[in-house]
Amino acid sequence: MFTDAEKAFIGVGKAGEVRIARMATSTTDGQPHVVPLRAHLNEDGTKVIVLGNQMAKSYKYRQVQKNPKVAIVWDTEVLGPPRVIKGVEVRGTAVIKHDPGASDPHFEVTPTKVFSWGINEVAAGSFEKKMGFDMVHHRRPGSGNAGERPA
Amino acid sequence: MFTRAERDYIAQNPLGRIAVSTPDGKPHAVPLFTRIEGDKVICTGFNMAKSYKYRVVQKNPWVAVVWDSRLPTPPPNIAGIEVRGTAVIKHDPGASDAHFEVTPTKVFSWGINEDPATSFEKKMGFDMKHQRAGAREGAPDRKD
Repeated sequence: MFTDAEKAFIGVGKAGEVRIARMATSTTDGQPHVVPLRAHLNEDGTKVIVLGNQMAKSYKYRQVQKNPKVAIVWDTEVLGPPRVIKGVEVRGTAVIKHDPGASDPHFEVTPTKVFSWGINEVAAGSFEKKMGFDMVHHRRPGSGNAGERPA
Repeated sequence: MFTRAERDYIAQNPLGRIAVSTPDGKPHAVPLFTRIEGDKVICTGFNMAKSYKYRVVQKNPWVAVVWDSRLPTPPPNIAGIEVRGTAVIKHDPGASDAHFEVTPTKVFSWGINEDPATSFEKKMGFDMKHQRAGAREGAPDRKD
């Protein structure tokens, strides 16, 4: 479902917990909600773990109980010029989980679709060419980007 | 609809994330650049007219947009603004691309309007005053 470059961008297991993603939920009649939170892939890289502060009191928590369809996006702005954004979007179905001993419940999202732009191309070296500039020098240190070229 | 602090924040953090939804409730989320004009949110995109969000908004105009930033403290400390509202597709004459004009029905924010001397920092247990970019003169002026 995920390429290696996408996994590295999102973060697998605990390594990805600090990355901020934005998750959209929706009412069953199509009124969306979007909020920043922490999200990463589980250890085997097949599902998305979504963590929240005071999750059980949140609007998204109540929404997911009524409609489990969610979308999550991770992105980073490449400081151009030109200004380019690259990222990964996952659409899927969320299940509420509560680990014994954990203070907050979390969502486990099974992806039905994965989209990405600028992630796999960077790993292949073609995104910079298409955009007409060298992105290596614009990368933010420690942003967990995939496809770092060897010096 | 927006307070002075919220307007300043969006001007400084123009990269927002928009959520759209199919009429039967399947959401989609994507980053894009935004600005506030009056009480409307203008959302511009790359190749907007070819995008999935563009086709979805034609079927269902409800959208949500969020701007956020991480505070320089241990997680999970995020400040942000969320707008829920309805989008209209606009295409300025001469412009190369279409854009959305979002009329907010609700505005939520956290960590933006709080007075530096009071609630939010105390709640989070630290002093944010020195971390803020720019002055926050004047009291909140939201008129709902």
